[in-house]
Amino acid sequence: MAKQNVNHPVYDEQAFNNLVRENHQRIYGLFRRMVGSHAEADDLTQETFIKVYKNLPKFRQESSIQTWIYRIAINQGLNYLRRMKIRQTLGLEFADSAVESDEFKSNQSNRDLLRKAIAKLPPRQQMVVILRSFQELSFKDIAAVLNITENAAKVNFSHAVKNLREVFLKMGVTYENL
Amino acid sequence: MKICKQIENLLPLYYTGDLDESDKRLVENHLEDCPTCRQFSHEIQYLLNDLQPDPVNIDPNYGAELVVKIQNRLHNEWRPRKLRSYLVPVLASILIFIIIGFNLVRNPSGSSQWLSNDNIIDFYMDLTHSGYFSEMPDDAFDFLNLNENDLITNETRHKISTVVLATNNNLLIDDYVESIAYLTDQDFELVLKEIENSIF
Repeated sequence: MAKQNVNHPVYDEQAFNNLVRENHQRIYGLFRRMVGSHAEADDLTQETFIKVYKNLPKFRQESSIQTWIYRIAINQGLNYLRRMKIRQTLGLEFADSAVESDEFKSNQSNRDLLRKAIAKLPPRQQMVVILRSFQELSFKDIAAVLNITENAAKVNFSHAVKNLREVFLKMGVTYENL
Repeated sequence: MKICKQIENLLPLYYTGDLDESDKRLVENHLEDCPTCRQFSHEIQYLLNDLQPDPVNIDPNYGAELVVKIQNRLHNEWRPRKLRSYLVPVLASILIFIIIGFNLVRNPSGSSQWLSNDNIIDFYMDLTHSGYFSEMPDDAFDFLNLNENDLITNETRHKISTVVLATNNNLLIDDYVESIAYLTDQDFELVLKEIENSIF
């Protein structure tokens, strides 16, 4: 990712606004693929840039500013996924598999079903799947933004795909439906 | 069979093109001989076909709207930088006293932990409710081979905190303070000294 010259966006409103304009599509795209709805993705995008603004004085330029922003977004995303996971664990999110299966048969698109299945994975696996399959990042880049080894990123992805298959089976969806 | 398990792990990476030549050959040779893994590989292939990027349509005006929303929020929430540079250490100190004080109230002996939950989910929920919501330490879980429903002991809690601190090189200050909230008093003070040295 190319380096971007942002001297003092904290003091320079225009420079910070440019940072938002130049990076918002990538960040919003990540969240939209993660959460599905515009409202939630918008909220997470705003939170990310506010965090960026507040922490810009501490940005040490060890990576490009885009990578740094992306990293903040991913931490934001992981925290969101973990909150959702807890809600899910406590039974506050998603109907049981039988209902989902019926929905699938009636009017759910494969994409919605896939999103629900992904949401059942552990947060780290969710993020790796989204970054690799939807954001098309290499495992090397995924490792860098998640601060894990490349091998750990691959192992997470592999487990995620296998777990997705299991989730589909539990939802009563066989691979022929996909 | 052990080899089947290994192939199952390699198959997703085979279809995304992320295997080296020797692993690729291993998968291909095995699939020729093993009908069970062939069936599994078809399922994985179908699944991965669906895991493709779908275009996200972004309203062309969204960028401009976002800038306005963020600026509005910043103007409402954000204190002037000059004031904040003094406030950060002051507020952090107050927070530290509150944390230690609260810990002592909960555990007058001073020897036990900040939070006293039984399992990781409870522990995490308590963090959330206490306002010390921090990133769920997946790395720590991987490292310690824990899962969400495992019982959490003082030892694992301490290890998790240590791993979180060791693996998060780019911790932001808020996260940093949050992530040490559940250390023992003694370790908490040690880490605070590190923070003072590295940040303030």
